[in-house]
Amino acid sequence: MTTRSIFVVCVAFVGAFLPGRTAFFGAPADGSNARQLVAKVIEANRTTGFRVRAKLVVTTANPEHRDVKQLLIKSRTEGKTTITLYQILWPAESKGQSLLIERRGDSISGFLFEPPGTVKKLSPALLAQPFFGSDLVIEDLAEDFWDWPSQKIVGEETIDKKLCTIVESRPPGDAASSYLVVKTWIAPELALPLRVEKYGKNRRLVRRITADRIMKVNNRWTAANIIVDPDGGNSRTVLEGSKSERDLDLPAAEFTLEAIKR
Amino acid sequence: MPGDARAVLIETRDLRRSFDGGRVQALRGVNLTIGEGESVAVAGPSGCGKSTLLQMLGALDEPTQGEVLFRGESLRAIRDPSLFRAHTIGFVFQSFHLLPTLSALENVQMPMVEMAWSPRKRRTRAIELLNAVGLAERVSHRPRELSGGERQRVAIARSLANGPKLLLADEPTGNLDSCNAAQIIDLLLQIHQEQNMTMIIVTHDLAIAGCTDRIVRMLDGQIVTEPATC
Amino acid sequence: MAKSSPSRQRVERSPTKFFLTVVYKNLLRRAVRSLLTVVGIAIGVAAVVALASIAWGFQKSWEQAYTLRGTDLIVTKISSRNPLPEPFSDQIRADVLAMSHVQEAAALLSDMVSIEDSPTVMIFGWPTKSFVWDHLKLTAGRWPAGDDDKAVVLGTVAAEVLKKATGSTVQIETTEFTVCGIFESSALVENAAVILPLRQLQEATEREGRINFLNVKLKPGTKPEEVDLLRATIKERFPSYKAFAAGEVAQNNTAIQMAKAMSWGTSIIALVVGAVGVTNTVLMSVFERTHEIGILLAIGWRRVRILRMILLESILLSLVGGTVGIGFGFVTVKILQNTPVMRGKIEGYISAELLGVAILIALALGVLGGLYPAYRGSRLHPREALSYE
Repeated sequence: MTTRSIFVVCVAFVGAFLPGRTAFFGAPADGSNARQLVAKVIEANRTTGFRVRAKLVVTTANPEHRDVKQLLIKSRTEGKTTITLYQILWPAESKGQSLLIERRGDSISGFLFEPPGTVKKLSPALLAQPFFGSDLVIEDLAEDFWDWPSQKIVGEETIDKKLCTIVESRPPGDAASSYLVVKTWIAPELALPLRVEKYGKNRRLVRRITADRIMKVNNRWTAANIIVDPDGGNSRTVLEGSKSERDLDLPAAEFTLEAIKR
Repeated sequence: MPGDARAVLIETRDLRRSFDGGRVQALRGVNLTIGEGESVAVAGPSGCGKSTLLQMLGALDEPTQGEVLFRGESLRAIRDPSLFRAHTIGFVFQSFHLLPTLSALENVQMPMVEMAWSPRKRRTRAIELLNAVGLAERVSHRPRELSGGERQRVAIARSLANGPKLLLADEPTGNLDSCNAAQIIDLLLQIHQEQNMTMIIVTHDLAIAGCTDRIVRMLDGQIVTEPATC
Repeated sequence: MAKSSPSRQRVERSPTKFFLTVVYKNLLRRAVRSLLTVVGIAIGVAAVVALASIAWGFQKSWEQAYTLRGTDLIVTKISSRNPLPEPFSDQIRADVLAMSHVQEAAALLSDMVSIEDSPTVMIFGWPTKSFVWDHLKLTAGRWPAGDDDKAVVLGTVAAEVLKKATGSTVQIETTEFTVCGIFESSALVENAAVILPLRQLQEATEREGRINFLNVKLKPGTKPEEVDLLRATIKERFPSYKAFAAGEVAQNNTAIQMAKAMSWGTSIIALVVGAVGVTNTVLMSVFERTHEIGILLAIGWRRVRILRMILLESILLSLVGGTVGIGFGFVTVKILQNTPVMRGKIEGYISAELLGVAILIALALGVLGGLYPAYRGSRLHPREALSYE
């Protein structure tokens, strides 16, 4: 029996793919149920820092094609600032590529580093690029749709025997988001999102992100795998967590370009 | 008096049996005496209680009131009625009641498992019995491979397996054609004569009843007449 | 006639061949139903055999590893629910080494990591000058030259799983290593592992100065009571640690305990479900044979014999199912062992003891499942049974 199947420490789904938040600001009284639910999820997954090892596997309909990368994902939160670093460890040809995203309050910044020395600042063009060749785009990691003013509960649905509340998030009119609406299926009893659907400006589903292999580790529900299915595409991305450590106090120096280049 | 020339083998005293909380009175005070080596026919219309009487005599059922005595001992005192039946009673049923998955030889051996006999003795005896009933060539046949008359012969052989003192036959020819019926009755009478076997045959056929030593007629759970036979 | 019963003849020993023939033919009457019941029991027993074999195999592998290494005591932190203890400072090594009867103490770091495109593998960081290497047999290449050598050796199974040979490179966490050799070990847990110098693993996983096991070798001639005293001393000086012998791996390894608990849990469920299934089948057959039981009673079969007949049918079904189930279980383990995800992680251990347990479980199924139907069948009233349509 593989220890991974039972005891693997998991990717912090919320931490890795829904940028960390420390607090809501000025939540309006309306739509408060949705906000309360989202706040509960964020609170349940709050951490000062984490380190996650995961395998990013991209497959297509062609069984010959399988793109695998080993990632190291680190994050550090201090006050209202959260920095998350995604690094490729393997294969050799991609080793060292790193994406750093920093959130200070409502503003987002960051860069993409490609060895030996190319640094691309976070821009609308960069945000539209695939994340390390996967079915996610960098915007999916940078954007915090739970920070949008329009949050409302639009229904309920059972996923894998877990009753989920569906929260619909809409960006403000002036937002640079490529999405018209994002729906999140949240299982309140687990304080975990089980599914996210992102819809484009043409109201069509762009991608679905699903939490897979939900398990309780150290008294907290997490997802061991994240599955990304682009709509209409014939590819799939799976992020398989192999290890995670939470509540770490990682030094800020680890998140500098100099440290990344090393 | 019927049977008083011989020692009494089995008798009933004010035998009563009711069912359904007393609503159905199958036997209403039957007093009957059967002597050793006697053949008796119990005749009567359907529902008169003759089969119920046979079941009482064979310790298959318990009376509501009254007693059945076997050689003076009450059947109520028997600790193990099955063992009593194994050593004392042979049954022949209207529907033969053979076990369908067993051969004729195995069916005849079935009662013998309660006897302290070796497998060889059981087998030898079973073959002898089947020979005696004219089925020497059919020992390994299963019931479905036998005719109705042959099946009843197997049943008769089985009833004799443990050398019973009393043979009880409940409508033994009820499911047979007239030719086979006659053969079966001849066989039973032959056994009765050769082995001095005490035999009670329940029948609604007066012709068959007439071949026994005595006919006991029943009606509505009671014995009505006990005339002498041919 | 005797008051209580006819002459007490010694009844024949049962079961006789004839009695067994009757039982066997009864089962063949509803061949499909009997077969389905056998299959149901076989599946339950197969599950028990497979899981128990894997759990015991897991335990045996670790016990074997420690024995082969020459480890007498293992010192580690009292773990939570994780299969591998949380790393701790290697300072404890010097303290333990200074204790009486301790000849050597090897500080080790063990981890499960995802390597390149393979499923997770076991990885050991061992100090290069240590007794724990002595039992391994090099089949290709060389051993790591020293603690500074960025080189790994792979067990033969690990080499297959990772698709590596000597001279290849392998990325472990943030560091690239060279595969300098392939080794063989009788313990699967080692044969399926990657081993590298302790310091290298500590650096690659950012755990400098940290270990999670101390393998202790005692001086020859150390008496059992001295070992106990040593264990007590370690416990007293380091309350959050425990020292256990190689043979006590099971109760000190959470993964093994969980595997065994799952195995027991499944066994109990299989037993209950199997007993219900057997009860249903045998009870159905008793109902269908009510009339026939009446005949048996009429021709002199004692109630206890009828009970024995029905119970024996149930036991026979279960024993056949159990035997088939053992075969299924064995095949299941072999298949699981060779699946890509499980390869190198599990090794079934089918001992005579396990086979005995499986047969006992099957027997228990037969007895438990058949008891009530046998009782019901034996209590039938002859008159009522005979008149049953």
